[in-house]
Amino acid sequence: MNSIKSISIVGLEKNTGKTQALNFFIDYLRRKNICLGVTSIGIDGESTDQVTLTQKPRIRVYKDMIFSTCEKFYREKNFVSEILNVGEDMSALGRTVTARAKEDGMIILSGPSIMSWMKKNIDSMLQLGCEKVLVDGAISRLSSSSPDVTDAMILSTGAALTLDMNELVRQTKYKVDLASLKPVDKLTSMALATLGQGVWTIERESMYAKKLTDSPSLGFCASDIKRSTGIVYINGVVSSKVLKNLCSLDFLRDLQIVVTDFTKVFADHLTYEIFVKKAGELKVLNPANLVAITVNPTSPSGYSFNSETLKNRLRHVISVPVIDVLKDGDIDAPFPGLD
Amino acid sequence: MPLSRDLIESCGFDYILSLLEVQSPLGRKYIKNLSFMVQQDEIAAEIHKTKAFIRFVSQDHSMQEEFSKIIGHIKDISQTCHKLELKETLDDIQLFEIKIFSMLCSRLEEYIPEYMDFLNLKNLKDVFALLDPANLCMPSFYIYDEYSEELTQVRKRKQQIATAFPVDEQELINTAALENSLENAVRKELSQKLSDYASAMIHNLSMLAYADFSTAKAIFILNFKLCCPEVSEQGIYFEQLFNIELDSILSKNQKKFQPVDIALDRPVTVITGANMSGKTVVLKSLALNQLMFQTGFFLCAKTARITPVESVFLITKDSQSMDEGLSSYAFEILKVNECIKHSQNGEKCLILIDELARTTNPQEGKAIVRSVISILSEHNVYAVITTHYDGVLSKDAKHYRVCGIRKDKIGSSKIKRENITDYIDYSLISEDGWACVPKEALTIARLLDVDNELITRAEMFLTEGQKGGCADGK
Repeated sequence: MNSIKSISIVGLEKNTGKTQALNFFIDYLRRKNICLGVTSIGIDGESTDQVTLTQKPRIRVYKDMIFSTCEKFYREKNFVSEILNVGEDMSALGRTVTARAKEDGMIILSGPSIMSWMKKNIDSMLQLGCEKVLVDGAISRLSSSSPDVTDAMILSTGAALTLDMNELVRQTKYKVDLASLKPVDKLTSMALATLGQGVWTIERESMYAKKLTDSPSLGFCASDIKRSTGIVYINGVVSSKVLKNLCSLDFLRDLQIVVTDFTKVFADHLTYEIFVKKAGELKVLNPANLVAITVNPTSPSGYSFNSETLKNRLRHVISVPVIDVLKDGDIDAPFPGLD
Repeated sequence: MPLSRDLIESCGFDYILSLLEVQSPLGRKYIKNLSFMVQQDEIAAEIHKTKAFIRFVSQDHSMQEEFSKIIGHIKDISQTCHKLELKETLDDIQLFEIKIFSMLCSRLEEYIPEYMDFLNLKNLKDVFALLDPANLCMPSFYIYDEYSEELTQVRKRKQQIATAFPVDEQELINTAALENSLENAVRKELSQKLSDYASAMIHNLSMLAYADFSTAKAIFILNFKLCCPEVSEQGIYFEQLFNIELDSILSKNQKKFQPVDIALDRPVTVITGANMSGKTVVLKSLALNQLMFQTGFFLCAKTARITPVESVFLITKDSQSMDEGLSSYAFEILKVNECIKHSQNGEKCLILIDELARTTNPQEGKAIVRSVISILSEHNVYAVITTHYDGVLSKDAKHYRVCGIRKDKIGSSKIKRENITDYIDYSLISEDGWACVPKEALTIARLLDVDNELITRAEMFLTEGQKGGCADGK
């Protein structure tokens, strides 16, 4: 059994087939006789989605699977399950209840919406005997896929994002690129982990750390970064402004730019490309582990790409497995990194 | 009697309470509703129990750690218990909570030593048995098949229908509905049976809240080396009274708090002293320790002998509230009026007033101070009033003077704003009756390096206006 204990499934947009992907991976892992837990990022008190007015989907759980959801949805379910834990943290929909299904059934999942609570919830599920926990992440919010919270991630993309296939491939590739940012070496990582919020410069020779600003969004003066600086460490949100600021340095290629993890990068695609073009390289403290991309070639308006073309276009630029769970939902095919 | 939030904050009791490391939501709730004991024997009994907890923490340390660990898992299920008392039917989540609670209670019993038998937890083994029909001893719950033979059969049938092909939808719904009503019947019956234990569970909840709080309190007492107070009929005596909050601030600057001795053996005590001489701190410490005494704490002193009072009033510069749209003088005088009303009703009070009537003109101010002293001295109270006014001291009151600036040390080294506190002796000296208030405002101003012209002119005005008054200190 490999070391991946928790996997988040995040979507780049609504209707990119995140739920089908979740169902697919539940099926996949269940067939491997893995004791599986499922939970979801909380939905802050709304059981219907306010944008499309569709109901939050029910997820099928099978006998002996462990799931956690809020008190409200736990009370609404219609199958027998055994309560194992009731969390302490109170959300709008009540506390989080973790239970083991005694028979198959359908349930709306809505776990904690705060990442530190989610982390606690995942740990408690693992303690209760789950071998792996699947986390249904929020749409267009990648925070649950932060390596701080889950060990691995699955990214759902599709026609719902844009009807321009070039753009779809470009945007998906950008997220994949971010999720594949390389980690810094162990020694540097240990040194940087002790530094708090803000933008820091670390001298190449002396390893002396100096804080430029308390928060990257406040801005900082690029001229404070000297030629003797080896590392610029950004502990906070990396916006386009931050990258542009760094691009103004003519010795950018000699610098290591380090961020905590890829979910903190909010810079737009073009700015990032310019940054890379100028030989800038982002590294992360905590690397993410992207195990698969799922695609939904159909948009909610009914337009559909050819599934094979889309997959091939993506496979051309992305090295992780790309699957259309509805078309080639072959649950017997192995997934590198998952089993 | 509950304590007022204002009083808790103004004397620094909230800081003390924030240092307590309680383990459960129950303990936190207990701290919020801390009760103020007034009866002597009640306080003496609480001191006795506190000693037991100190023994538990210091001598049976490993046992206490287990005990606290288990308490940390206990949740506040008082809402659920009240539902049971009202004979309401509980749902699975509530039944689960009761099961876990009864399990933890039984486990806790093993870690309560004999000398703490006053905790007296009610046995909830029967509650656990009701919620564990299959005798699995697991910390989980659902409506087990074992609750009813009929339920077992219905569930089996439901499984058969669900797995058959093709599924008979109508039959499946019928069976599921039957299962649902059978489950509800079980929940109802269980809740009926459990309601007999509701009062026992509520009793245990309050005992555990008390135990959580008292364990944290005992650890706190040991950490800060607090003293066990002696409960007395009258008088309030402290030897080496100190202040934890101030001490922790001072220790950051490598300084130490200088403890003071004080005895309140007459209805009114007046404290005089230069500015910066710690008069306010003495008042706050007195209020704080009285609250600690009457909520069952040990005290911040070397020794303490205290009599319980019915209420505590602390009127300081910073306790004033703008909320009521009153001037600082109006606010103060109304507060003083309240104190006097209480003492005229024969209530035994501790009244602490910082620089009474300082915000009005000195002639009337003095008269007010004298009047307050003379009224309070006729009642069964312990009042401490600090003042800068001359001529308010009388035979009605005991007089303490803060030792003040150490003239012997001045000149020996450079005095700066940062180290001026090193040149002040904070101890209280008991004076006989009529002594004058010390005049050190200008000396302190000089030490603080205030503009020389200000000081020389002030001195000039002082000598001009001074005919027959007290010139310096005594």
